[in-house]
Amino acid sequence: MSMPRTLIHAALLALGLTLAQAPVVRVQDPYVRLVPPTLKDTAAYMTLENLGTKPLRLVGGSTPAAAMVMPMRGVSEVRGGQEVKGMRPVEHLEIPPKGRLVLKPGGDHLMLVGLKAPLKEGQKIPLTLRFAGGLSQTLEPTVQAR
Amino acid sequence: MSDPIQGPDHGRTRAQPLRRPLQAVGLLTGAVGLAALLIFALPRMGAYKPYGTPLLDPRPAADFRLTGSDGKAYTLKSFRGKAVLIFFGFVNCPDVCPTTLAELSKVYQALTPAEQGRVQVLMITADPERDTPAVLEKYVTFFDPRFLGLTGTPNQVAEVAKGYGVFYQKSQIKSAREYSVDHTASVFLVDPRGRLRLIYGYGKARQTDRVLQDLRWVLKG
Repeated sequence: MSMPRTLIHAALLALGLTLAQAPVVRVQDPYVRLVPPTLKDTAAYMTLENLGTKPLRLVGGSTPAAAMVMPMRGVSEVRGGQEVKGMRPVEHLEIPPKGRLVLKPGGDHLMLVGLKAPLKEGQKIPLTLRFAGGLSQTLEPTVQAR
Repeated sequence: MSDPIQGPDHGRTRAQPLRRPLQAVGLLTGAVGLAALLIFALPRMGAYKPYGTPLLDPRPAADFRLTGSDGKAYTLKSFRGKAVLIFFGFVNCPDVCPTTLAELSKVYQALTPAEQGRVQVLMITADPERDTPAVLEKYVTFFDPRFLGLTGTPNQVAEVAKGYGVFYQKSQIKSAREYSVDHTASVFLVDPRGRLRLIYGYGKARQTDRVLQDLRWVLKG
């Protein structure tokens, strides 16, 4: 009697672990912007999809290519009838449950601060995204001139 | 082809006397419509509708006296005879400026070599304190060797920005040399006669073909 119950417990535990490890975030079309070699910062863009039922917070990340990975919010206001653009560092960028977060030029993005070497077009850069709650995901976006 | 025996002709013949007033009204309406078409629509069919936002009154674009990324002195008049695309940005800008310059580079590369000789892309710095001609040179030529950066004293830059209705301010200031700059992200198209003709809001230059058409329209005069 006790043997099968232990087995069931073990199976349930294994299932639970598998579920916990199932990807909650789906990343589409990630790329790092190719910038002039004299620049020390660049940006990473992608679309993040939250497959889960709870909001996800992208708090930052890390890459061997740069000193820091910072979540940035693209901001804009109208002055004299024209759009003024800027960016502000934020604690996190939120992805709503079953929703998407689009990181794109001129909008929200991840800033790669302090590049260790000039980037080359086509180069693959390991980039680990960090989410609130200890979740992380590693990607390998290519450097692109777009 | 044989004559139709039955059909509309029969009907029309019989109905003619009754329909005459109606026909007259119809003809009159048609004539008025045609006249309206000739007067209003036809001349406009030839008129080009630019993609960029046109100025209600094209006016002389604000002149300036600045230093080029090649070290030479430039005024807007230096580019007379060329269509000039002007963007205000800064070198330590990893997002908005490379996006716009890459878009302008696509437009420039889509021009024929002859047209390229009649078009100049300029980035005027919104960060004159850090963007020296040498720093600008390495930045703008990355997008195209023929792009030109312009810088000057903070006062000179402030004056030219005012002339184009451009706003800029430092943000995220960490130190005297570490900060970002918020800035108007529009692109201005000045025609070969020095008149400000079209303005592209941020992101509009992504439509390479449409900006290309605008440029060709402006080059025609």
